[in-house]
Amino acid sequence: MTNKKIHHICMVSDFFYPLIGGVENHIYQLAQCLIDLNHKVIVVTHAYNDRVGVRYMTNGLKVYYLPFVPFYNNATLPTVFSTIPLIRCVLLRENVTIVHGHSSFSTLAHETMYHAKTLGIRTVFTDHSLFGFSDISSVITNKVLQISLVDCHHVICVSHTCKSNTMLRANLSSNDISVVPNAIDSAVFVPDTTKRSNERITIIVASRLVYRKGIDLLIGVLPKILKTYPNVEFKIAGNGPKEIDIQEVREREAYEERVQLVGSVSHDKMNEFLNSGHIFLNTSLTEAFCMAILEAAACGLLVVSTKVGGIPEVLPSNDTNSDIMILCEPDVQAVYIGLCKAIERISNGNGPEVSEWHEKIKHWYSWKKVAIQTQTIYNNISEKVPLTLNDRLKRYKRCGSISGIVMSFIAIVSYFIVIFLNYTQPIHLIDDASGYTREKFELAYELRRQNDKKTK
Amino acid sequence: MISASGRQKVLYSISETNDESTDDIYDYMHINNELINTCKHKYWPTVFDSGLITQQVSSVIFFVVIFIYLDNKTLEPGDVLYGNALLILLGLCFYRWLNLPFGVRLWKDNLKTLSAFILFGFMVSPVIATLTKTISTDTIYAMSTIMMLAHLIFYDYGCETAMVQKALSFSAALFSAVCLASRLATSLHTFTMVSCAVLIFTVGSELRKLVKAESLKTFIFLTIIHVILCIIFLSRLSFIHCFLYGISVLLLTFICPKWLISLQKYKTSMRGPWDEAEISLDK
Repeated sequence: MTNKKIHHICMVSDFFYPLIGGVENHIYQLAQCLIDLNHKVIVVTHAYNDRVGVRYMTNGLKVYYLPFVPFYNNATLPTVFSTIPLIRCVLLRENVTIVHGHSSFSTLAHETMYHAKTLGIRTVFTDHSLFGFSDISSVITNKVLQISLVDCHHVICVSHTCKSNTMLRANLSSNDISVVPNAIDSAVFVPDTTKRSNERITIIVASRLVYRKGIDLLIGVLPKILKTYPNVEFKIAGNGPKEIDIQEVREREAYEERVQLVGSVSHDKMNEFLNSGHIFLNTSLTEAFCMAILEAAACGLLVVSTKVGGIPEVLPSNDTNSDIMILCEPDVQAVYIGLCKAIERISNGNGPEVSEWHEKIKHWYSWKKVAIQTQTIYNNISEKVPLTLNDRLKRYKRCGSISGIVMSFIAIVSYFIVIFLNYTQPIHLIDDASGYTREKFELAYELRRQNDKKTK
Repeated sequence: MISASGRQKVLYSISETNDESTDDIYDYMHINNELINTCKHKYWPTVFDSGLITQQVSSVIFFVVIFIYLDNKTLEPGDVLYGNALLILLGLCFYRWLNLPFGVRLWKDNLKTLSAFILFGFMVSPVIATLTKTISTDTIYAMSTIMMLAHLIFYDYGCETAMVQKALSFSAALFSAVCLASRLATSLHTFTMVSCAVLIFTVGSELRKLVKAESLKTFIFLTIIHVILCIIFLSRLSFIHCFLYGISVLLLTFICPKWLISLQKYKTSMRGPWDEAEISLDK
């Protein structure tokens, strides 16, 4: 890259490790790749039980677990003003130039971005989820999103469907939003066909067992497939409220032996688990991107998936005889037909070319590429002028009369609070956090290993 | 997502450099048009349906009027109880007239419930009568007003929303009745009040729903009777309340439906690939 500008980035979301999920993984991988590109990255999230304070992860990725208590679905209570002192302190101490919020469900991300704007720091937001327009909760969430994004410098969406959704929800123009897909760590998901069973065709399901993941479809299709094909077995990973329903079907139809419920599989065992199957079944009812099918495809599994959200964009599915994905409408009969096609293909030895698809996916979806695209966005916005309070007030007017006034009021109050804090806690008295670079991290790691050896 | 040119937009062919120029603005705009008008109301059926609300409000007013008459000793509890018995018999005839199923078994069951109610009602009335001695009358009135409002808000008017809480609605009405009953002079007064509450809020409201399901004409007739009786009772108490009642009935019956229909055009929803798929589980 010709542009060698170094950004100090603050990734912020309510969802980070120790939680497991798409957003958490995304933040971690993106942060690691940005560190590789010589940017300074910190992660800000809320405390998880006793995990409070600062932690360092691989390559000196600094994680702030701020002492805010989550109250619903792991999101913090939206208090707006009470978070200003602490977040201001973190942002100034770390010399942050760009705040990058993740996930529209995360209160902390919205609040931190809001305070960053008050402090004159540029903001980027990544939306990971799709949202409807029909019920009252989505009306409220969409309003919050609109208010939060109206003065955001740039928005990133993980798929085109997600982009059009966010455009409509937040009333943004197409230029404000870029599509940067998720990626996978292709070094972890390596195909290994020797682990597959030769006598039986194994269908893998790996998702949380909840309604949104379409487990009802799975329950509907399970007995049908097992009845039609005696040489097929299911392996289901994950847990959740619908687990009991699957168990019930399994017992009722007496398929205990051919339906394995393996419970939750940790991320490092996932590759092994995926490699033990031929077909991957995804029955989600809504999905912005779907990393699971990508992981399965990287292992060379034939993917059968429902045609919802951004899934058709992720993998090619035009030719049912050679492509890696078979799409079907989200109802039991269509999923059944899709699975039948997949089973026919596998039993005819017409499955996807494993190593070829692995290479393709490695080329299409790498975190490095994601980081470079994100870096381009950072470079672009760092050339734009930061928004002043006046600009922000003008933009809030666009959000409608009532919320515009409320948000303007909050913005002005926050502005005064920051002025007050500048007086009680002057900026020159806030120490810069010492840069904990990658080299230092490696040095420390080496020293520690040597110490360990000595003690042994 | 399908773009305006009918081409599937894909993520896997994104080139190495972030090429914004390939993003066609119109690709994202055409979805805007998919606005769907979700439901349609017609004026007169809505007016007739609003009768259920009018009747419920009127019932609450009947109840309060009875309380006031009992409290200032215009009415004797005995007379009210006779009236109640008469109403039950009338309701029974009405029930028969609507050709609803009514066998010996149901008859027996009902008698059992009635005797249990009278027995327990008499047993607990002295307790209820002295239940709120230590609490000021204003508090009790405020409390019963709030509870009656809660009853009206959460009452099941026949639409399936989260607002409808049958149990809560009924409990609120009974709570309010017990509060008011405890203000009265003797335990017979109290019993009268509680029996009125049961008659109005359980038996009465069930019967009204049956009538609505069976015959619309009778239902409209019933609504008119409710309104007329309410106006007569209220006019004897206070002119201003009667006037307010009349205004609110007009508003509720004729203007609110008009308003509801005129608001329908704003009730739109956008559908697109982001919506959660609905699965039919009949297969």
